[in-house]
Amino acid sequence: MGTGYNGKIARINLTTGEITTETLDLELAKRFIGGRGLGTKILYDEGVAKVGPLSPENKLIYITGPMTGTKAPTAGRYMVVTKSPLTGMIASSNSGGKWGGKLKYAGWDALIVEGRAEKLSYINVEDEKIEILDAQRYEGMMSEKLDEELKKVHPSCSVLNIGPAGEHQALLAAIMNDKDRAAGRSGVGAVMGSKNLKAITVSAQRTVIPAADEEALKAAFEDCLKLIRENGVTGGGLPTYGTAVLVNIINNTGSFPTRNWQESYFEQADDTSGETLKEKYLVKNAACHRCPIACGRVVKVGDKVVGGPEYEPLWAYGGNCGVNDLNAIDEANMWCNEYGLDAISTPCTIAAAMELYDKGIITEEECEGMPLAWGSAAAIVEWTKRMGEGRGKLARLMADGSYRLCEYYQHPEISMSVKKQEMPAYDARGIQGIGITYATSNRGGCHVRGYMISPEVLGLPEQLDRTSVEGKAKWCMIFQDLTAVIDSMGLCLFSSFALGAPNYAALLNAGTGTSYTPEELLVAGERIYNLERLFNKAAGMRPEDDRLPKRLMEEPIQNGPSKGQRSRIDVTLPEYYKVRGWENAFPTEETLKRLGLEA
Amino acid sequence: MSKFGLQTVLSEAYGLEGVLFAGWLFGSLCLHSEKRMRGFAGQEAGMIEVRLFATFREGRKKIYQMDAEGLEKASDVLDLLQIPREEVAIYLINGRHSSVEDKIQDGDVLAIFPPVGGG
Repeated sequence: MGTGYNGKIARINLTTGEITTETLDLELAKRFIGGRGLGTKILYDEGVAKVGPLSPENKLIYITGPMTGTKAPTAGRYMVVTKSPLTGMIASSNSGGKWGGKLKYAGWDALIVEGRAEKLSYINVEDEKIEILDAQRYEGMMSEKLDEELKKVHPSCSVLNIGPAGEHQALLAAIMNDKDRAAGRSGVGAVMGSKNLKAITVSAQRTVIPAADEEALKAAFEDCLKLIRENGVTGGGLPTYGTAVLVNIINNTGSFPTRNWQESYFEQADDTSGETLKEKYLVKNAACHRCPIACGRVVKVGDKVVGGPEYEPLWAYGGNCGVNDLNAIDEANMWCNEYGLDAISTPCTIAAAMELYDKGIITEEECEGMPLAWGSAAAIVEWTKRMGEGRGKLARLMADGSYRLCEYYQHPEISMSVKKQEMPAYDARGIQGIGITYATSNRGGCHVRGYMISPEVLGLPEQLDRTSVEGKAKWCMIFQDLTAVIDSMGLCLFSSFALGAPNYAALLNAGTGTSYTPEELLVAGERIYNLERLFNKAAGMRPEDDRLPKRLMEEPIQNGPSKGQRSRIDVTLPEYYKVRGWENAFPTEETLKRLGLEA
Repeated sequence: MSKFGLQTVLSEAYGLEGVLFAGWLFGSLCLHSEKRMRGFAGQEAGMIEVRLFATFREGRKKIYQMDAEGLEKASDVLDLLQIPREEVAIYLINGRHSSVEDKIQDGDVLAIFPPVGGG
């Protein structure tokens, strides 16, 4: 009988070359579930909150959940947990593809990477065997090419790697796996670059993760699979159009940030929509490990067939830069994958640079032959490449994100970021609840820490009035806590369009032998969310870091169906702290005690 | 935990009201459909604009400009376009979530979606 966990963690010190095997504390694992929760617990307990994010003292934890690699639907996720060089706070960046499942099959729950290698290196995992190998011949190599080269050396492996952006420690650098899947946010690729670690290859003979109760897991799996297939979103909308289907709906609610959030309705949005992508560029769908949804897009860019853009880059390169050329967006997104850049923050930073250029703050001369003009398809492609390469002074500045860029030009108000990380594709003036998610996300501007778009726009599990503030704080907290659970289990957040807490409890209990009720599972999520906040507090977070850019409160939306709306975070944030049991942005002693997190 | 139950999701997403009414209404309105469906004709006085998305575009146009006369409720438009109500997940009138029974008026922009999601 298994437990869903392998019971083993590898600690790899790149400074000394020492590799040790540690036994997983199963009780601790069950309490923090795995993935995002357990990774944060390890990082917090080891005192990483206070270290320099790009110093050898920072640690990179690649961690799976107890469901990763099991038969559960969408069970292909892993997390990268580290201290972010972009935000200076917790980074927990999630990715799909095949790599996470392979790591689990190889017999490891997590890899903890410490120190800094003297020369560019990579880690090769083949079941029990772990070795640190020379990667100097791969220096500067793009992500897809590196994937192919490493497969020549380790034929059955799955590859995780950084591109050139990670190597030069751009703060927007992502970690890529399986060519076009990304642990994209918070600059985790820069941490990998700071350790002189180019890639981690994983090969495994085994293809089964033993569960605590195989029969119960099979039954829970079948229930969940049925729900996912019958659900209109996971069984219809997502497989047919991918996440890109959101372009038109968000635009039609007038909550589609346009030209760096100066407007919120993009007249030409349909040119960049999931419908247009399907009609003109889609080659086929792509699925992550054990995923029945297959929302991934494979598209044609010139004569290349590559991973296509998700909704976020379609918006960020599209409406947010005023661009309606879908072919150029596909190409720019491809360069994000190749150079290993965050495909949300990179185009958002280009949008901020376009506003600086439009206002005459960035000069023509600084653009070195490629003006940062609104709507320029050539500019989004060229500036992505320059940022990836770190070519030129302005591009190097931009590769560290919009906050540092705008601060350099003494216009921090133009950076549409929270905790120095760019906000994604939903205007918090037209959709009030998502503003709470942005403001309070422990990893900075982010939509997938509590996807309020689901009830506020998509009507799932029920339709809320997107313009109302009433009850939104509590809703947001529930979404944040449930998301922490899903991320920690090793499942995809998209499963939650069809599944609820009772389904996740059934899967987890069958897999690990726990006896969580749905309510207790939400408390476990709450514990994780509070622990992340404790990490941030230790890292120096201040209450005023839970803030939205001034534009969202002071500049009402100028056009479209949400014209005149502004964020009411002044009302919702105090209410949120109250429902969380926090004072001044941090948990009270009483809350910590209730959650078993007291010092 | 009922907030996360599938039944809630389905009952919220798919209204069941007025199915029988649909057949009668379609019959009465299709007589005028040639006049009403002008495609990309541009907004005129007394007109409404209907935007279709995702699978609703299959076999239909993306946008219809329709004469508002005789179209009282959003459900009248669905019937005219032969879109079964149970397939509609999101119905926006001028960007605001609405019910198919809500009244429509001159100059309204209707946006109609099947179940969609992402992130």
